[in-house]
Amino acid sequence: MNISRGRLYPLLLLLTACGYLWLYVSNDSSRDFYWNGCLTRYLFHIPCPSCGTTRAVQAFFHGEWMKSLYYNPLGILMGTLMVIVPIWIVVDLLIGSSSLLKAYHITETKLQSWPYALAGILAILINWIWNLVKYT
Amino acid sequence: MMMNNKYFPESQIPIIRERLLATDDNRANLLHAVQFKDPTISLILSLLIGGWGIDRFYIGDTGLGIGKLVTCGGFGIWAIIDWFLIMNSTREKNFTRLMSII
Repeated sequence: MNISRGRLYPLLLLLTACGYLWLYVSNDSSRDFYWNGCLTRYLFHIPCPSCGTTRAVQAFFHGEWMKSLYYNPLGILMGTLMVIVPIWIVVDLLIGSSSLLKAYHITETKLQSWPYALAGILAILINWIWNLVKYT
Repeated sequence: MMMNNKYFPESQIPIIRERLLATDDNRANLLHAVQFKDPTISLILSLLIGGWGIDRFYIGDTGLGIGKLVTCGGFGIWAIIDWFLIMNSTREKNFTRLMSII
């Protein structure tokens, strides 16, 4: 039923690598990109619940916590995961453990139960409304 | 089997048939209560709101759904890749769910 370690770990590493690459590319202000990374904003010209995360993660890595929170609170979560996940995977591979996979499954099961799912949906909706106010 | 074959991967149909034939009636009755996810609905969700990971939430991949949601659909690229992958993923999920019952 659940995703295997052999699929999850490469996928997470790929996502993290893409995240760092995206940060590197976005940091270079001399380049002007037509693609801003968001399909919703591109098609409908409104911000999605995660818009502002790139700026938030950049602020997070510069130690500007309040700025990061203002751009998008998801940035702090993303920044933390981008640091922790690769280290966790390397440690897991070195000691032959599957602790990240177990943690992933536990989190997934928790989030599928109603109280957590409802709290998550509400948080994302509130964040989206805030994004709409900030960025439109 | 004939009515529900669109819910499962084509390559697994013979295995499902064999397992169903070997299953006793009591267990087979349980199957009527199981709801499988429709690959067409997941494709529609993927096309319309795939950028928010709703298609992944629908098939029960909550972790990947959150991954898609917080990255604006994997910078839009993952959302587009999923337009082509989501139907097969749905069938695979249905197959694993069926196998856990019979």
